[in-house]
Amino acid sequence: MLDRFSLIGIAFSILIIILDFFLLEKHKIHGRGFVLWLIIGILLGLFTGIPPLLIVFYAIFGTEFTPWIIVSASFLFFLLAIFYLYYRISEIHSLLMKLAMEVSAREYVSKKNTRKKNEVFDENESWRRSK
Amino acid sequence: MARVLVMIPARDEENTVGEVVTTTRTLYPDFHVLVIDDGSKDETVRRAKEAGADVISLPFRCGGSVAVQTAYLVAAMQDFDYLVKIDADGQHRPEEIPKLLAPLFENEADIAVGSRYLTLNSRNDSMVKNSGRIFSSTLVSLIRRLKVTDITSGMRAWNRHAIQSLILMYRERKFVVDAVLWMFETIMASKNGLRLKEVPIEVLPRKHGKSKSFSPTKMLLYPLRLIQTLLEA
Repeated sequence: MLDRFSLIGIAFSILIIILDFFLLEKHKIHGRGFVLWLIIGILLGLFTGIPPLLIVFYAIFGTEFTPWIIVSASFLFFLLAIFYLYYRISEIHSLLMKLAMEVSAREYVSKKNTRKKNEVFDENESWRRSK
Repeated sequence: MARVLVMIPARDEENTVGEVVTTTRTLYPDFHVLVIDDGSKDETVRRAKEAGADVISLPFRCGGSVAVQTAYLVAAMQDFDYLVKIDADGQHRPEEIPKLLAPLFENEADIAVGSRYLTLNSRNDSMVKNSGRIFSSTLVSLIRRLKVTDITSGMRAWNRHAIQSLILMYRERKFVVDAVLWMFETIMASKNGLRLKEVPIEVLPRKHGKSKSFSPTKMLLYPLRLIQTLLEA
């Protein structure tokens, strides 16, 4: 039977993976972001679902710790917050780029049209004066 | 007479952009030449204007993908019949533009793509670059049942129908990053029923500066980019 800690970790992992697939399906996330968050979700599920894997961390940090509820809950929510921010930033970046191209194209076309109108006006004016 | 717009996206290409514009305008006086400056910090804009091109300066460094999509919008707003893209670094030969336009004029294709692998010219590039291109082209060809040999080629031409379809397609999607633009566009174009045709072109080695589309980091990330494009498209 899994610990409650493991169940919560797996639930968060599944939530991240589902959100990731949902956003990809709606074309709201870049493929790069999708792959990144899929890997994070899988790793989260693995490490919380199979706690002995945490031995890797014991080996890296040279210390033994037990997951403290506030620390682990904060970590999970922090991960979700980063996921949300990543998605928002990526969406804003996409909109900014689209705006940049739209503004540049419209500015150019409008300048072109004004120049053309002025040329026609000048031609008419010079024709009228010559009369 | 068909109206043709030649777009030349440029960033810090002061050494070559003038020559590219001059050659294009001399060879095709009826074509409209538009340089899209992607936040150059050198004399690119001045050199392009001096050579007689119209210049659009993007508000900040946005990347080649934005430059290309801006040209799509201009072509649609100004009612051009055909759009051609060549690079500002002098690697694409303006003399080969008619080769690209021929299948469009004859209504054999909606998008014409210049392929360096239909000639024996690919030896200019490193083995790693060529392998990457050949692998991605083969993969996309297999998945989409297309005949593509040079999916990353940036020397392309579009007809009006293709431009309008692509504008709509890009509007519905998230912004596409530079590294996968052509791969993404090829897949989406084939999904949307646009006809693609490759024509052989020669790609010259760069005379000045470094390539912006390839760096060691970008090469390492390429497999990930490939997965990303296949997922997004």
